[in-house]
Amino acid sequence: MAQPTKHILIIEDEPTLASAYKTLLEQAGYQVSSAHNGQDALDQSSKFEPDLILLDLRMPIMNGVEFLNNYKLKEKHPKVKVIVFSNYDMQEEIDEAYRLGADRYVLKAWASPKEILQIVKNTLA
Amino acid sequence: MTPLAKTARYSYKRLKLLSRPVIVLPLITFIVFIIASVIVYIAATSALDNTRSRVIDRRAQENSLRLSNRLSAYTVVARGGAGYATVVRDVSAEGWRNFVSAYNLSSSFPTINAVTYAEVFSRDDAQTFIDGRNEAVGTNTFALNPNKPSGDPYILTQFVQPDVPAFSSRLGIDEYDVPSRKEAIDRAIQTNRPALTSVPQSIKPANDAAGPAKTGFIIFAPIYDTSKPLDTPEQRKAALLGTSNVSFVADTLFDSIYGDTERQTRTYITVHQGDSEAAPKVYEGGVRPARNDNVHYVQKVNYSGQTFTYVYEFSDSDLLTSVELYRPVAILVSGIFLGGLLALIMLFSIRARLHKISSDKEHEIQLAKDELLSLASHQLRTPATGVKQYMGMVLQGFAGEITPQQKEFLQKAYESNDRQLHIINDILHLAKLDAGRIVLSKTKFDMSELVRSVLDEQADIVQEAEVKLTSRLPKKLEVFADSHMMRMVVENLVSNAIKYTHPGGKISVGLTRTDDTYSLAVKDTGVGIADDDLDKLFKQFSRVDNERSHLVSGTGVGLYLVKNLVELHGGEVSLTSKLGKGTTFMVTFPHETKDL
Repeated sequence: MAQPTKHILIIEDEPTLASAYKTLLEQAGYQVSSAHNGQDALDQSSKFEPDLILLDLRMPIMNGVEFLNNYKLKEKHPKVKVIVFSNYDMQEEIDEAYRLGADRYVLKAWASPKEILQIVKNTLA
Repeated sequence: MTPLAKTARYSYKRLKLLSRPVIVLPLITFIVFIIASVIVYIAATSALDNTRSRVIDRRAQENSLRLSNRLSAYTVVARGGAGYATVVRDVSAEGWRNFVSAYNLSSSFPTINAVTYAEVFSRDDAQTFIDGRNEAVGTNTFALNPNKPSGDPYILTQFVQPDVPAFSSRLGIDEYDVPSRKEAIDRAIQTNRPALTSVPQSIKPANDAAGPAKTGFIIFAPIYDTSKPLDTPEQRKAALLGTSNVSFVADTLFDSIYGDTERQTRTYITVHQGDSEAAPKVYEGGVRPARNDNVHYVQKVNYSGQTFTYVYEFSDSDLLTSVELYRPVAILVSGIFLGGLLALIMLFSIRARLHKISSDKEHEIQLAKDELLSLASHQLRTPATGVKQYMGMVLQGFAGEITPQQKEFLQKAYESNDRQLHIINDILHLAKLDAGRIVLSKTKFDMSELVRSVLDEQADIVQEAEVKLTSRLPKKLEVFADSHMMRMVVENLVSNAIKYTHPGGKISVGLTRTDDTYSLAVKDTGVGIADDDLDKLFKQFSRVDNERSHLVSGTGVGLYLVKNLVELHGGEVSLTSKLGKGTTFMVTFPHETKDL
């Protein structure tokens, strides 16, 4: 293995989807952690810094945008890539996510597993 | 209750309130206005009548005042004569002339016809006087009345001023012999005041010797012997020495009083000496007003016991200014007009309000629909996405090998699920588009890079579909647009091309630019589109039936979306196609530079 395994953090409140992505990414050879919502993610991120975050926007307790605000992506974690993994939410939210440093936006319902892998690979490159 | 049903119920209630015909309220307003206008009109008309009466009263008052002033003046002259005669005792022609000339009749009293001195004669002296007159004139016209009641004095006219030929025949006439003059003289003696004849007299005008006699009046002032007692009428009659009288022609008198007024105001005056219109007419003159302008008025004027009846024909347009005259009608007309105007305004604003309510209601319903759709779709998306992921993983080999048959079945399930996801996505997008919520958020990005990444992602699908995908893209093409929307446009066009192309076919994607524009062309060697189907293509929910459409997922909304998004960017979509040969889609956009 030429490089160390990339660590991906999935922040997704829907358990079915979260486990699907986790399975997929682990099969592809990534290290995967998951959080149910923004708060959970913040708690976890104190322990490690992921290489990539797959971020759902609509979550209870703390949503994706709030998470980005609190995580201070650009200031504190400039090396972390963020792919917003969502389903056509409000334009303002998406814009806000980009403004806060997200790299990419993927429509959950659009991307097949292979497409997801490709996107992740491209983003991490 | 669902939001939609709630909205519908609420709006129905509101509409029911206004279900009366819109015209009712404006009509009521109009009628009220008309009634009010009529009432004001009636009031104004009555006020007008009051004004008219006041003006008439004033005029009539003025007229009666003028007459009594004039008659007073004449009385003064008559008295003056009596006074002179009382003092002088033996009046001569010269003396009478001097006395009268002091009054300067022609300038001060131009309407006095004559001032006459008549003396009481004894019968014999009267006869002598008469004889003398006959001799002077050369005729036998003068004679004493043989049937004169005994006790009646002979009061013969001696001197008349002005001394004109018209009067020469008057000298020697017995004033007391004319019944109406006798009556006046007796009345003067009785009341101890000068008396006006009560019956129109026949007066010869001073300046018209040859002409006919005219209607007129005489004021008699008795001359008494002041050395005798004058307390009772009998005593006065016994002391009578003669009379001094002033005569005047009615026409001259009334013309001089009213002439100007009549001309200026179009009034016709008729004067009767007596207390009704049946009494003898002594004067009429003036200008008759027009028939529809006529106001008839009768006035009775008293002068020292005499009643004159004035009959006026006033011109209404002279009594009242035209403003006053037309005010009531003007009020009525403007009231009706205003009422109509107000009613119309009310009608239109009620209708506008109703229209607004109705369109508000529609808007609310539309909003409710959208929200419902949005909510439902969001909820549906998550489980469907889950299915997609797991089935996708099995199909893509992440759960181990699968048999061809398993693959076939799973593929169908996968595609069915994908179709569901597409429908949901398109519905959501439609709701946003149609409600006008799509707002482009433009950024600077590399279009080439975007196309490249879309093609990258479609790589596996391309491989499975067994078509050859080529592309010609510039190294970098910087544009200012909404990158999400652009991505959707590209994704849509490319995935359509893939779907509708047979295995073994070719798809080529090209990105080009000019000075003002940039274009994306997606060409395939697929099933093509028939000419007849071309205009259906971009319509919502339309899908063209062809040999591959039963294999394809999607609701047919994709191209509608593409067209809208392209147009939102100010661009154009065009295509060329030949059935069976293939299709080329081309989208062209104008360059936009961000204002710095």
